[in-house]
Amino acid sequence: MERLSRWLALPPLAYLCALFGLPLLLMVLASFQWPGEFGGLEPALDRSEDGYRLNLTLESYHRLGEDGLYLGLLLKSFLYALVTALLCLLLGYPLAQLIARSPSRWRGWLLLLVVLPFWSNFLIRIYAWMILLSPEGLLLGVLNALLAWFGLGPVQLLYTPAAVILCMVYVHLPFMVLPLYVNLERQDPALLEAARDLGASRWQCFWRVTWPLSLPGVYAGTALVFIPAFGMFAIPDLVGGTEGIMIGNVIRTQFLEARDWPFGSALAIVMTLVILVLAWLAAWLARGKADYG
Amino acid sequence: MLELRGVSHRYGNVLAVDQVSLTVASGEFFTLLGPSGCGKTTLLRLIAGFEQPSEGRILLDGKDLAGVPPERRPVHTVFQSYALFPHLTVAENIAFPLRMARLPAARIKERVREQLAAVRLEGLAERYPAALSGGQRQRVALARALANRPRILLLDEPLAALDLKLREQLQLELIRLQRSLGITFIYVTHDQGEALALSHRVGVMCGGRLVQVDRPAELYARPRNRFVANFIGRCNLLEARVSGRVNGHLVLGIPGLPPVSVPAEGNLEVGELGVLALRPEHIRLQPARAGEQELSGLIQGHLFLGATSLYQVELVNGMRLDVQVAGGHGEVVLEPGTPVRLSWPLQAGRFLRE
Repeated sequence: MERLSRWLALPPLAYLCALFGLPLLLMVLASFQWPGEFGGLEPALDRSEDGYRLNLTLESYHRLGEDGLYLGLLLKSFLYALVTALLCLLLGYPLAQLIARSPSRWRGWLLLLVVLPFWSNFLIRIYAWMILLSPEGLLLGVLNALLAWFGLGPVQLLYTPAAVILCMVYVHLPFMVLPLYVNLERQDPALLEAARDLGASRWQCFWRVTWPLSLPGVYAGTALVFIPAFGMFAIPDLVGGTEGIMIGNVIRTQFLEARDWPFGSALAIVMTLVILVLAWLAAWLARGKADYG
Repeated sequence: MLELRGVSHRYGNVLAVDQVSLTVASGEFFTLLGPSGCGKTTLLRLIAGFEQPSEGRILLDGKDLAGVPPERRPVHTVFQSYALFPHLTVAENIAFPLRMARLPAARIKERVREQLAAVRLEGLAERYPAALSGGQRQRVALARALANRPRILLLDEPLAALDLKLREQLQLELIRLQRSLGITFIYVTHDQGEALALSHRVGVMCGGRLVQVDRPAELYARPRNRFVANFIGRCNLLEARVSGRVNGHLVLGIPGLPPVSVPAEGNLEVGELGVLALRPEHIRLQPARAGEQELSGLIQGHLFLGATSLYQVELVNGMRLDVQVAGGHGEVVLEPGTPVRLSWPLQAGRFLRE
C-alpha cells in the first residue's frame, strides 16, 4: 500500500518539478544574467577562443540594493499586504464565527454566499469596483453627499492606495473566511460551556478558549491572504493610480515594458524569499497546534 | 442547601423536567438516577445555569438563582465528555477556574499542586489532555471542577465512558474526595449500582418527574412504585388486586393462584389494582414455615452467577418468577420440570399501586 502511494505521488511530483521548480530555477539564473540588447537575456555561457566562459553578474542585485525606490516599494507592498490580511481577519473572523454557529441547514447556503464572487471573473469584479468608486459612482456619490452635509469636502477614492486596500480585502476575504470556518465549526461547544461553568465571562471564553484554539485557522487564512496580496499587480494597475503602485507592478513592467528581464527576476526572487521566510515563520508559530481535539 | 421548588423545563413542546421539588443538604452526596431521556441531565443543566426553568425556582442557601449566569454560580460541573481544554496542559486546565477567580499566582500554584495530589496525577502536570488515558482525563476534569471549591459539584455520568475495573476504583476515590472536602455532590447516572454504592440519597427520575427520593437501602427495600422496583435491582412483579384485609395485612388476589398476604401500607382500598413485588433473593425453594407465604410451580431454567444461582420458576397460572439462591456451586441443580414450593417471609412482599 505504502509503495503504491509512493508511485502514485510521482506524476504530481514530476508535474511540479517540470512546471514550477524548473521555471523558478530559470528565474534564479536569469537574475544573474545580463539583459539582452533588445530585451531577453544575454547567454549565460560566453563562447570565446579559449572555450566557454561563465557570463554572469550581480549587477541586478546591486541596482536593487542601491536604489532605495525598489526597497521602499518592497516595504510598501509588504505593508499593504499586511493591512489587507489584518482587515480580512478583522472582517472574516466574526463572519466565520457567525456561519459556524448558525443552524447546520443554513451553513451551506451562507458558505455559498461567501464563495459566490468566485463565479464571476476577477477582473470584471475589479471593474465593477471602479464604477462604484468613481466620483460619479453610487457609493462615492452617497458618501460625498453625506460628507457635504457635515460640511466636509468631497473625497476621492479611485486611484488611491485606499482603493487598492479596499479591493484587495474584497478579493481575498473568502480565503480568510474558509479556513477560519473549518476551524471554528470543528470546535467542541462543550468547551465553551465548561469555561463558563468554571467562571469565565463570554469575553474570557473567547480569548481563553475560542481564539487560541482557532490560531491554526488564523495562521492559514493570514498566509492565504498575505502571499497573493504581496505580489498583487492587477488591482493597483486598475484602481491604484500612481500612488497605489506595488512591487508586482514594477516586476511586470521590467518584463513587459522596460524589457530588463534580469532585474525583474531579481525583484521577483527577493519577494519570493521574503514570503518564504514569512511562511516558515507562520509554520513555526502554528507548530503542533494543528492536532488539538 | 440547594432547594428546587416546582421546577419545570420545556424544550419546545417536550416537557423535559416536570414539577420537580427537591432539597439537597450541604455536604450531601445526592444522585439523580433514571433511564436516558428521563430529564436528569436537563435538571443538572438547570442547576448549573445553562438552562432557565420554564417554571419554578432554584434556591441556593435561600437565594434565588434566577438570572444568575453559569459563571457566577458557585456550582461547577464535571462533564460527561470531560471537556478538557486541549490547548492547555493538565496544570493549566486545573488553574483555569482559579485564574478566572483572579486568585494570586502563588495561591494558584499551590492549589494546583494540591489538586494534582488529591487525584494522584502529580507527574502529569505538563502533559496535554490528548496524551492522557480516559481515567486520567476523568481525574483532571474532577480536579479542575473542584479546584475553586464550589458549593456544589455537578457530575454528569462522569464514569460512563470507562471500563468496569476503573469505574469501581474511581467510585471509591469519588467517595473519598467528597467526604474529605465536604462539598455537595449532585451526581447523574443511569447505573443503579453506582447510585446505590455512592450516594447518601438517591432521587429516581422517570419521564421528567422525580418519582422517589430516599436513602439507597430504603429505595431498595421499599420502592414506591412499579418503575422504581423494576429499575433498582431485580424484582418480580405479579399483577394483583387487593381483595381484602385480614389481621392488618392486605390479601391480594392473583388470577389462578391462592391468595397472598402482604404488609398493609398506606391507604389502600379493597379492589385496587397493582402488582405484587418480590425480590428474587427473598424467595426460598422450600415449603413455608410458620407465618410465611407459599406458592408452587415448576423449575424452568437455571443460571449460574458465581456467588449465587438464579432459577426461573413457572407458577401454576403460567406467570414466571425469578428466585435467587445462595451457594451457586456444590449444590444439586434442580432440573427443569422439577416441581418446587416457593416461600417467603410475609414482610418481604409488597403491593405497589399502578
